Amino acid sequence: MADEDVELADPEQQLGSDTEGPPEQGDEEGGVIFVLEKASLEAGKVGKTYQLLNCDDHSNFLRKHKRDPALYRPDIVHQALLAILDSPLNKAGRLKALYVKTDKNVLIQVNPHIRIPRTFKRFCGLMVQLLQKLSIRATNGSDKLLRVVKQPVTRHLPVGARRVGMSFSAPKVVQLKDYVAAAGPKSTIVFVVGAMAHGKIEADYLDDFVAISEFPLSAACCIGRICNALELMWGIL
Amino acid sequence: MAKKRKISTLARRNVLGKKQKKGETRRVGLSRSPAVEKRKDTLLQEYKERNKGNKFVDRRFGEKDAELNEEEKAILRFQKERQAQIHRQSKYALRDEDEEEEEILTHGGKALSTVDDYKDEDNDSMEDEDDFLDGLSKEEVMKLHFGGGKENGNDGSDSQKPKSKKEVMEELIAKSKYYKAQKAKEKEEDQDLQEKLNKDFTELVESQALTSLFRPTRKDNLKAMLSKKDTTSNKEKEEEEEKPDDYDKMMKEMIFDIRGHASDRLKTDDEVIKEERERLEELERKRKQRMLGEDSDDEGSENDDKDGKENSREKKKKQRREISGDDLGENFVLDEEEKEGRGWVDEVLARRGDEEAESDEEGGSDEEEEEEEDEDDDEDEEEEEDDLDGGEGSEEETREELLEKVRLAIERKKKLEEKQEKAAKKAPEIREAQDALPFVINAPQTLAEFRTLVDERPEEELVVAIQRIRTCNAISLAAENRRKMQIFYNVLLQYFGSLAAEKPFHLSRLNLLTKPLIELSMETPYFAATCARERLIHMHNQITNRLKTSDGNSYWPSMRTLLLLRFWSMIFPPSDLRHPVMTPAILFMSEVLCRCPITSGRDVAVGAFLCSLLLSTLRDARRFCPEALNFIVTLLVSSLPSQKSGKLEFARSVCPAFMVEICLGEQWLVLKNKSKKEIEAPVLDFVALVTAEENDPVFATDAYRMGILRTLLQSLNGFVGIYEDLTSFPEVFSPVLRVLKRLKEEAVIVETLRPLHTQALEVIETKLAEHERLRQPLRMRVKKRIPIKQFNPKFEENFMKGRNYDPDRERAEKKKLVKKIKSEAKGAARELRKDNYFLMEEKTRERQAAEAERKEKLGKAMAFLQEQESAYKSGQLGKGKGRRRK
Repeated sequence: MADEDVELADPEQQLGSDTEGPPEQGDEEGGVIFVLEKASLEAGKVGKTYQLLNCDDHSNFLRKHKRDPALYRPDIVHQALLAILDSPLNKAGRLKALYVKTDKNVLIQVNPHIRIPRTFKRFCGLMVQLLQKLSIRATNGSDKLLRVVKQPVTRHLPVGARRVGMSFSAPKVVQLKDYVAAAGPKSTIVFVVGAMAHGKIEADYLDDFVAISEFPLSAACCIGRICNALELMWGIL
Repeated sequence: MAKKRKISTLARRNVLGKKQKKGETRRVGLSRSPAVEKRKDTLLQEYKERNKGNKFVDRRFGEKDAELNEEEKAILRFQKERQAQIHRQSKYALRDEDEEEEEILTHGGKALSTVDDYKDEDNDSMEDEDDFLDGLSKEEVMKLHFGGGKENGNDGSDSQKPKSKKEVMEELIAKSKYYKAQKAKEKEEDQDLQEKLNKDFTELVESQALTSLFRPTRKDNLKAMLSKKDTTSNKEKEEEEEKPDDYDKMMKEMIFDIRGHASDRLKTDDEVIKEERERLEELERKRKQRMLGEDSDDEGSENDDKDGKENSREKKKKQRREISGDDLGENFVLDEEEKEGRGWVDEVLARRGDEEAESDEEGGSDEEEEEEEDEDDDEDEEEEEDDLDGGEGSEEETREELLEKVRLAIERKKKLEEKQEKAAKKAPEIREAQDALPFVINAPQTLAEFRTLVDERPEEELVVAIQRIRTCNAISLAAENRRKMQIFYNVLLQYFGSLAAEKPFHLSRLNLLTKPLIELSMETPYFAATCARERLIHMHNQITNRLKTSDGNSYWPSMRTLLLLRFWSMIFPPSDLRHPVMTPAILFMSEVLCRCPITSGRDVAVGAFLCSLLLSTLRDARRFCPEALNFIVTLLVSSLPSQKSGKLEFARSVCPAFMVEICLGEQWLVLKNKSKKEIEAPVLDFVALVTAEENDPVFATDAYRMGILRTLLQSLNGFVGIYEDLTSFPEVFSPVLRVLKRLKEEAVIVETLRPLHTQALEVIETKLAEHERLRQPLRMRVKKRIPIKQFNPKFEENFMKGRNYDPDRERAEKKKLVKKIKSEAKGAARELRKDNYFLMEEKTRERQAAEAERKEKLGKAMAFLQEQESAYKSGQLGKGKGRRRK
């Protein structure tokens, strides 16, 4: 019954004192920070193993526990992460930080240098391990590529950076190209994108709430648009 | 704050699907109290006795139990004593009957008392249970484990009673008799069988069905054996059986014989064609390699390694076949006379012809000297040489064949002698016979010798003579023949040269010479190359000397040189990156084109010829030859009519200055006749032009000029064709384009040449446009942006917290132990801490108790003193006693 003793440790018990303050803004080139809100990353104990719960594989399990399977969509997070981390924007080093906040209120800091597993299965394995171990290292280095950090996310965001929430329901529909151009190429912008199946993000730290299309967009598509607009502005090909 | 955190922690920890233990929270107090109790029992006791040297231990029965009264204690004591007594006695004392009901001896699961010892036990009850335990039937298990009590022998009722000795003996005798009879019967059957077998075998052998399967030696053995067997068959058969007879021996031998020889499957037509195609492809590949200058030897050896033994046979076969195609000696095998006309060159051509619908004209025909030469011809020649390279090594194999041929030749000679003797009788035929070409001719070692042999003879006999010399002195016949043939090759080359130099020009003779010369070159490629190189060096020296001395003669090479150059371009592969003959030859031609000044119309013709020769040699490899292009352009410029309209300036602008100097000394190609309509542009007879005198009237005709122009334009078209992929095409050909346009403007081109001219013009124009369109402007070298480094996260499939995923077993184990030590140490420290806390509490309690006691005592004392004092003060001191007594 050894696995009965295994617990998902409380992240905040393990975190040491958070010495790093919010990053300074004002370096010569601008950057972008993404926050994925309401990500559905939850590990469950299915049989004897811990698995990342998703609606396809665990619908019966979820129903048995009186949950709505439609809400368990880690694939959205996977696609969104791939869209961000594979973009030329990131390759050019303009992605300053990336945070994922889960439904279960766990805040994950993602290193822009990570190469996210391409397959969903492997992604699930990675996330389950992260939720249990609270940090993931690189295979070759000692840097932590993923780690669970202290809430709230605002303590990690640079001071003065514009925090923009993306929502289809927002009253303001903007042309993103112009919107980022207005912010100026030297500024750092925080984009908050929802990685959930339904609903809208509930973040109290936002400066602005915009829609970038007249249609509801998937998270990955929305991120693709943001990346394109920024690449255009910074001349990244 | 703390409360909020607690809630959130719980929510986060709540893992779906994980079984919750009873109660969400741990009940700390409940788990702590046993520990406290335990400490009270152990630590507290120790603490209390810490200052005691010894202690009194009460071991009386029941004394510690406060609930027992005296009587019960007494009973307990009695019980104990009784028990001890019983225990001591029971070892030896038999028990009473009624006491041991529980201990029953059993057999087979039944009490022994119920088993009747004398009853015949049947296994019926067991049989219905097919219970197998570890492969043993229950029955067996029964027998093995409990076999003792059962009577054995279910065999038969009579076997149960012992037999008498007599009976036993009788039985024995009966048995042995039976066996003997059996044996005799078997033997008889065996003999019958053997006889039948022998008969069948002889029949089989005689029927020839078997013999066809054996090799001759075996067949003989078989026959011998058979005859021997016939004689001995009837008698002493038994004896023979003992020793190994011939049949056995042979059989054993045959076992080790190779049963059958694997033979190559007959190839289908498709396969043959495919192989042929592969061979040709291989040859083409080699040629390409050489063209690029790669070392083909390495490749070859690699191939050899790869091929290994399996392919060696096939290879040999291939070589053999190649010989059958290439072998020159076969021409004089008597029964293949009809093949004489078709040498290997033709065969290769024929083979190619199979593949390609169009049949090329043979290289050795009259067209050979024509300026236009088909590309395919060149290719053929290269392949031919490759063929020869392959065939040379296998000459050994045909030695026997050749020896046979020599024998035939000698016989023929004898016959001839006989014939001559006969002929001697017939006087009129003598002269004829003497005039006839000898059949066996030693290889002539000097040119004079050869010339005496062939000079007076007609062309057919020249060929026959060379043929005979070659057969009689074939290299494979004798070692010294190689040298002989090499010298003869040199002689033949000299003869070729001298024929070319002769004034009445024997083109047909030269043509006839070409074929044997090519074949000879193939036989001794190295020698041929050496000869060619020597001659090239000589030619080059000649030209340089002529250029230095600059007497009145023409600077341009002679007919002989030109023909030799043409000849070499046929023998040697012109497409090789570096070839010991062709590279210097091409360089030589180029040098001639750019150094020799034109002094006559003949020089122009020679130059035009060299250009087309260069074109044909360079066509395959698409090498760039600026000299030829410059020459063509300069000559084209020279055909511009008007001196006054700045022709010289124009010439300087489109061609190099030295070329202008060399070529434009005179207006070689300017038309004299103004009425251009009538002028034809004939295909020129090159031989006639080159052999003509310098001041021949031919050179003054407009037809000649137009003819030269035609040749130049044709060559130009060829060069455009092969250079169209050059990156520098616009740079190279834009002057040419200007010249062509100018030619058009000045209306130099006559009607017959117009198609050629327009073709060149259009091709150059389109190609120029194309190249310029595809060109990319120069750019500063852009540094490639370097993407940020990416790292793969390290994680495991099915991660389980607490499990060690270290692949290094030892390290993981060590880590585990270290972890355990740490946790144990922590636990120990915690226990000690708790002990101390407990003791501290205890001590505090003690101290408090002591304090309370002291306080009480103090209070009492104080109270007494106060009483005393108050009594004293009130003057009742002394009365106290009285009071106390009261």
